[in-house]
Amino acid sequence: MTERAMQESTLLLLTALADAPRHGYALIKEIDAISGGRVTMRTGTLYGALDRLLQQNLIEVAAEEIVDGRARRSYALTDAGRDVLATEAERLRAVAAEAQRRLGGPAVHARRALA
Amino acid sequence: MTVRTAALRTAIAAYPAHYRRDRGAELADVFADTTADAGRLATAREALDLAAYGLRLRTRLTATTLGGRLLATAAPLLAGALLGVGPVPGLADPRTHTIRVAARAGLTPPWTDTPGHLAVLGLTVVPALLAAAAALGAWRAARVLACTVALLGALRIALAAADTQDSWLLLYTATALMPYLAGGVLLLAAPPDLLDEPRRHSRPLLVGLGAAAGFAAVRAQGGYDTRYLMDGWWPLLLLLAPLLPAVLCAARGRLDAAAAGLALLPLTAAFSLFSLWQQAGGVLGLLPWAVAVALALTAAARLLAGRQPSPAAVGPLG
Repeated sequence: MTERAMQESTLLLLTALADAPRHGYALIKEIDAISGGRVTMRTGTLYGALDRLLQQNLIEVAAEEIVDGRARRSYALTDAGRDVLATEAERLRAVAAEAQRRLGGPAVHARRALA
Repeated sequence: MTVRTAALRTAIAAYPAHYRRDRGAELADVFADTTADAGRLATAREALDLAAYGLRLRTRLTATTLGGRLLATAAPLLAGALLGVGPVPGLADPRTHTIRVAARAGLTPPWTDTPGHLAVLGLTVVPALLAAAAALGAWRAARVLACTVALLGALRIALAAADTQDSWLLLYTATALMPYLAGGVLLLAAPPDLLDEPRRHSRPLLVGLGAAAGFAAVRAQGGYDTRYLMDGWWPLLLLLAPLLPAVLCAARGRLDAAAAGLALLPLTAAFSLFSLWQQAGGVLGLLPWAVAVALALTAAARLLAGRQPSPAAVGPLG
């Protein structure tokens, strides 16, 4: 399932749900924070992604409640979603580690020493 | 009623009733939170995004539906096909004359002709940019360019309607411009979250194949030239050749074959129907055949879809 790289918006959404269930607006704020303000997900786009991930069984509705007279539905990662996110995180970690290694490898050090 | 409330109501009205019942209050709350400190422009963009997803749900063109996945699969081919629609210099295509006139006129008076000239030149250049954007996977730019192509097509049809007295000539002009309008709209309708996904490496090849197929399809129709209106079985063939795979293969869940048909359909459907209408001697002569074909295709698609466990199965990871 993770042969292809995951889209960034999907990765951010799954990451935002990794530590705790969250409702719609909290997800938008969390994605904004995780991406350092680079990705602002709009309401329609968010619900499109949520519906897709719900259908793919990567997330689930964790709770439906009324808070201060407002409808609140919280979403959480399923076990499958957790596995997919972990696999993607490992793939990214491996790529980042390799990039770090090459940037700081012996050839670079030798070149810097010669400079 | 505030502008924000009006924008929200309009956006929510775009959703199907069952979704509105289930999620309407939740969507309204998130919208209220996200636009609490927003200016008019940001509120309008938020409302447009909300309404756009509602329209997708209503038209069943989301990332998880068969229609949405089919459009996303067809997108690179369609971008190429729109490039293939344009006239090629040296092939005695009468449309090159129109382009030459528009290029010579440029921005010189009379100013009333300028929008028409710009639209002609735009439809010569923008499809090339669109194909390049699609080949490079720059789908945000490709969507803007697809919208531009559709708008330029619509503008030329509107200008023709204002200028042309002869209804036959107007219908012919609109028919010849319909590929731009329909192709641009179909590209825009493809779910953006699926466009980045499929077959990243083969994207330029698909755009190239689309351009070649589009060029062949338009040449087979004489470059949409009134002097070469198609006779006999030719228009029927050019209508059914893309329509049958688009419908029947989609019903079987074979998206690649269906996408190839769908990408060519906007290029052949309008002119083929126009030629058939000419042969049948009017709408009344054509209508029974059109209804019969539509019914037969619907029945065949349902039969084939029934044999499939789940043609609209869950889409890609995205």
